[in-house]
Amino acid sequence: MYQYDELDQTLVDERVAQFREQTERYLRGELSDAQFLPLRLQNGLYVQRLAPMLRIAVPYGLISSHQLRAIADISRRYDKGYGHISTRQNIQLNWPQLEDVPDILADLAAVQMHAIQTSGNCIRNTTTDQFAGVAADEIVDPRPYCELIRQWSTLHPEFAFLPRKFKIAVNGAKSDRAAIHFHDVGVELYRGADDQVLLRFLVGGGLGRTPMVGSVIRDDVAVEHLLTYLDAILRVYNLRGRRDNKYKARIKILVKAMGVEAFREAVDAEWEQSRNGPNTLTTEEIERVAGHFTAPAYESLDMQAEDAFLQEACERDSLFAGWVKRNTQAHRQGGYRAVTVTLKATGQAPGDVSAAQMEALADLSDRYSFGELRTTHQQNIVLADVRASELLALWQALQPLGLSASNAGHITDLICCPGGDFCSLANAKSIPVAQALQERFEAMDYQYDLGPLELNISGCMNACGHHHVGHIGILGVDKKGQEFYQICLGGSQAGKARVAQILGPSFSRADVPDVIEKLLQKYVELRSSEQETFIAVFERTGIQAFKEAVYG
Amino acid sequence: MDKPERNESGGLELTPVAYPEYRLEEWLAIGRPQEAVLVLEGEGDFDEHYAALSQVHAVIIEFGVFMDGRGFSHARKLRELGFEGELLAAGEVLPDQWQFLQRCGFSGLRDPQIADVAADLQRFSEAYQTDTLQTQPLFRRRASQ
Repeated sequence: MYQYDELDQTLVDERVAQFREQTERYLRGELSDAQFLPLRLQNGLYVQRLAPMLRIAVPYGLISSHQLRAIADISRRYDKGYGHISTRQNIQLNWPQLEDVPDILADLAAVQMHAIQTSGNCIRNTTTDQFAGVAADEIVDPRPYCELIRQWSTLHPEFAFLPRKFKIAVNGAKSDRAAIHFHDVGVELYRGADDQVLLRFLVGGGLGRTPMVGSVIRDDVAVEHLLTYLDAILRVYNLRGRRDNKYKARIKILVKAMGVEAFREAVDAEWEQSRNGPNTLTTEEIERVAGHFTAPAYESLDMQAEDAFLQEACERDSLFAGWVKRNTQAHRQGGYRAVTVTLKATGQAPGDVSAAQMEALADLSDRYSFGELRTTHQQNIVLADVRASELLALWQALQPLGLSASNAGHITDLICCPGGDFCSLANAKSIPVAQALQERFEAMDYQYDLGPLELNISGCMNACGHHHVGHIGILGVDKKGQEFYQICLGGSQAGKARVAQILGPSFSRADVPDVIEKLLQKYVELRSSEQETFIAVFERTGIQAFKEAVYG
Repeated sequence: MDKPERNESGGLELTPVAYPEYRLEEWLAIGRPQEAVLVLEGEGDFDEHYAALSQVHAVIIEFGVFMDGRGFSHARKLRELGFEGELLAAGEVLPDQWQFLQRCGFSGLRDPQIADVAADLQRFSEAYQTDTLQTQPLFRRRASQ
């Protein structure tokens, strides 16, 4: 992974010093609440319902065992001994004291981490495929390009006070695990006729109050123009994006208002000035950064022996076999697999991970996966490079940690925002809904019989739980001071990117598990075989049959 | 990057104020003279006027609210078009914004009190991007080291 040089480190250290000074001025009364607000937000510090919340950047989801141990240590010393993986692959601390935040940031800087631009109206953490660099279907490794974007966007002087937040995602695989259709800018990397890397830019996708699928504005940009083209998009947005209404301030509203064609022309007019200028990437720089993302020292394995060992272990233990089937992924390197450790045990908030679990995962990654881990937007952790013959030992080590659930990609592996228990924006709680659903569906045979299913829960229209792109989405709404839940069906973030359709009138919290069960019974009734997934049935039959199943 | 230079009053004022100040509409109405100090609203749209504006003596960009970052892009566009005169930020700006304002091409802050606070704040000694002060991005400077 990327290692800071002196200059990268200097910038992060100076941001810590700057934030320390800003916090001191605020505490002395020299900065008002309104003035301190954007300054602290641009450093990841929210003031939540019960306490401040600090969002630590995990650039494109890559974290070393050393860094994860540091976060475990910070969570013990300054918080309640746990962290939360967000849907943007970041790690949040829910209970720090404002006065401690400068010291926390200094501790993070010591392990090449920061909280720069993890909130506020600026360019946020760039996200990508959690299987980047190891996926069997990868065309171009997105990580170097994510790092180039990270550096370009960090403390960018022109774009620190945008109309609204700005999120970029990058995909370089055949199947899109980065949801690039639902970002302010999605970048797709592919290879042209003579094998050179080309960029396809999508703009104006997003979830939130007005969910939209992004539009392609250019699909043939040579890779050296990555940063100049992004600069041009951002400048058009900074100058023309709406600032009169925060709900209409995202770039998707601007692109819709201008039309894709006019937006492209405006971007091109800006790009004309900067194209081929000094910000044009050089081959040396692309190679320098790519040099940080080389393959680890894989062993050349006897593939037959690896497979035979795994096969035999699976035959001996059906629980293990189920975990291998659902929680491990094909790898481009023969004899290796990528493992998803789900943070979705029933009874804990989805995405929460204790300090002890973080430390244990760090140790396991040192032992089995070259000391690197990835956070995922499904709020899980991935060990990307595990030998097939070591999967059994890893699974056994995960069991006493409560991290061996074999539910990856199934209904109880749900995505859920912190909701009304923590967040001051939420209209309704989301964690209790998640827990009720996990309790209802955790009976394993039933859950696995239902096949792959994405269920996403958001506590308000801001859609941090990505309910619009869940196969089943649940949205918390406020009705005259009461919490209700609206259900939507058929969302999809990859392949045919699509926003879910609303099923009908909303339900009380107590009714949600019954309603979901009715939907699932209808699915089982409608499917042509066990191989036909929920989303495939929805695509074939439409929403009407599901409406009737629920509303009669 | 150096600290902003301070004048005797401790602030960064337009010096010398040799020409009259005009709002955009007035200036357009009298035939866009170059011997002018233009006072522009950060919220404005100057797409048709950047080229002419880049020829005037000095420009003052007024920020309505400090959260509105359009003034940063206006400044860069003027500098990219060759504007070499003084460029001041006025209105609601935070001293904490000064370094980014300066990197976008502002030569000073109109309010001497804000300038005074800004001059003593922590600053970044490096930057990844190009800007008005630094014409080469960090990656090109790294490569030549």
